[in-house]
Amino acid sequence: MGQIDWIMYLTATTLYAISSILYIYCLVFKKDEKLNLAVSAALVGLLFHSVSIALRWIETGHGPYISMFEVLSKFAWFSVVIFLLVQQKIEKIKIAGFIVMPVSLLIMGVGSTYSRDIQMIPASLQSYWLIAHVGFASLAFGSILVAVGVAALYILKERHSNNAGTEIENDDSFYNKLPRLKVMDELIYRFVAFGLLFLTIMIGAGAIWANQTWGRYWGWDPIETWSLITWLTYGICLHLRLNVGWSGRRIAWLIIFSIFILAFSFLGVGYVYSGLHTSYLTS
Amino acid sequence: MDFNAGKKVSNFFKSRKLAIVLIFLIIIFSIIGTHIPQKSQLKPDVYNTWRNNHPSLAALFEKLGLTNLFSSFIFISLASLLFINTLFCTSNMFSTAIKRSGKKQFQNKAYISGLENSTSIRAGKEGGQVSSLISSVLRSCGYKVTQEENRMFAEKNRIGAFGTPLFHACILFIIVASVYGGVSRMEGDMRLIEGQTLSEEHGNYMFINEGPFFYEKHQGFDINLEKFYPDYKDETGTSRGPAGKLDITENGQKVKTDIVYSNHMMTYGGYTFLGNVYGLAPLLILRNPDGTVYSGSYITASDNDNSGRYVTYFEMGNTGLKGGLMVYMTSNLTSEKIMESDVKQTPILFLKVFDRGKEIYNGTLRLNDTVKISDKYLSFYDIKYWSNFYVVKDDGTLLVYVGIGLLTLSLVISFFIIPKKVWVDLVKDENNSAIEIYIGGRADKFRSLYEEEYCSIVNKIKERLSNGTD
Repeated sequence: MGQIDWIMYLTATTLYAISSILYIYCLVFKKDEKLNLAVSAALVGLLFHSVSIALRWIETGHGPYISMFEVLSKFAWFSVVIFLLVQQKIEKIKIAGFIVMPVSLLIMGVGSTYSRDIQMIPASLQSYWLIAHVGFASLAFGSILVAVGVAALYILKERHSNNAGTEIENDDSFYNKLPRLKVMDELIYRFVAFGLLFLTIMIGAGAIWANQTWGRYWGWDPIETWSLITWLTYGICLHLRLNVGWSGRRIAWLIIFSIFILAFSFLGVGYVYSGLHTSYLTS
Repeated sequence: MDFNAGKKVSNFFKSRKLAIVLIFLIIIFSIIGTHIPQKSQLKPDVYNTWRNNHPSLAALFEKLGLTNLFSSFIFISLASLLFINTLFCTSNMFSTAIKRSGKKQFQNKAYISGLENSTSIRAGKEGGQVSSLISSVLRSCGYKVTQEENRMFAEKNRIGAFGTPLFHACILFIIVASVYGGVSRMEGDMRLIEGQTLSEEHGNYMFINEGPFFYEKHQGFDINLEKFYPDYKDETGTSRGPAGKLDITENGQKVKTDIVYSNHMMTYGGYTFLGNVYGLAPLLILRNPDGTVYSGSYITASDNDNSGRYVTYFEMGNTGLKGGLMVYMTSNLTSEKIMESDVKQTPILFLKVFDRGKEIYNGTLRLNDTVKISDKYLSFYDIKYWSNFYVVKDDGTLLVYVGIGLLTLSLVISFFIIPKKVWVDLVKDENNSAIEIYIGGRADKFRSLYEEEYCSIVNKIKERLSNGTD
């Protein structure tokens, strides 16, 4: 079974790579006829990916949240699922896959470099709160990744509009098939709002889990502190938008920049700092 | 003059830009706090190693309070300022939301025409008929409609206006709850040998840390370690690691029994008991040559050597002798096929005895072995497990959990229950032959995304007007 799930994982990675190439092709050559093919490749890749996760789940007896290989696979899976659901509902932002799919591919690629050895679930990690904690972390990452995709589209469309002089209503060009700038601005806001909500639940579930395990819900451990930093960062983003009038390009750039803080908080902290979480994150 | 000064202070603390600056500074200090070794995060030897390796840097950071950053004056000041700022903003937001929610905001055609989503429709029907038709469409879309002469005001999701103030109130609540929990908190380590009972008193803790408002409010109930399991398997057969079965007794009555292991704490009377380190405690009895007991006790081998074996040094009564022991459980090799549970483990004890620094004994003892030490006899009679239990009383924890729950709920209200309003003004034309319907709508958030809903309302009204149905 171990070999089959690995083959499924590699097949999924290959299909994500094909999907990424198609998305980038569509964006670079401003042709949207290949978009459906890119979505199909992502969807089939997701099917293989899901089977791979399910097989490993059966084999290990626990969900994808113990080894780094599993954690990264789960992050990519949630990102692709959220994106495919969103593009189904808001068809005009399909092309945002040019960010989501390559990032998911990168996560899968990095994940494949980690050991796939099965690790038994340590006693300290046997908690439903841990499952909620890591599950909502992935949902937050997926939502904000989609926000980054839309933010990148916003910047590209705005640049195109500036070059063209204005946003032309009946123009059938590639960029005009995207939602209006104002709508994209609000979509960014909405996905960040989803992200902030999931981050809040993630931190809350983590606090309860920490209290069960260590007898305190907050201890300024580096990863706890970084999760707070991330939460505050997105809090600032929303504050700037609502209270200081930041919108459009400025907020789009801020959201793109902020995902590096989020990614560092989720995946990088374990390598840089020592603390209670470190052994878990770097195992 | 005084009034102006008060207003200035109020405006300063109400400023949302101040909130952004303070949050930004807290982020910066938090990042610094994760880079500079924090005394509260590290074991003393690890911290001292860093301190010895970077003496000048450590001295500077210590002087600036950066090695205890999260409880430093500067960090607490920033957090307090943010708290005050949030308090002012929250009260302001609540009063605005209350004012807005109570108002029937009928508007005229000029206001409606200025909205981003506005339409005018010409209808050849009688005024009462038109207003009842529009009202019916708006109600079918979930709006609550009120009417005043020829103007209508419809709104839905009014509760959404309270999401953002509630969110900020929850942040304040969590901060207050955690501060309350912190100042009235008690935490400590209680060491129990299997079968031993200790009462919940200050003196029975090996280490204890009490908040300034705990006031030594110890409960005095008895805690007994009934049994210790080095690798506990629960009823489903799942391995749960080390676990201890604890009994709580009050006034001679056993009031609670539970098995404490990782992620499974026991709570009683606001106290939580968590498993901590454990080890072996051999019972050593020192006898006089005539067989009478000179001294004896369970020696808790509380330190781990590099191989994970339990070691300790101890005084041998008033003899002036000092002992050092290492103990672990072992089993004999066998060629028979046996189950893991059938493996019988027996303790083995390595003992060294020193007389004023000079080694006078070095040997191995098995259970019930006796050796002659100086003019006395030392026997290894029994072995038990000991375990440290981390005992915490934090009355703020539950409040913090409630705060987190409400915070999540408030975010859902704030982002996903969006107050939406529709205004209608019915204006008769000069000849009284037709009615000009001015309709405008707005959502408090995601206004561009509201367009779709607004258009659907207008289309429904147009459809009903042309069908002539009510």
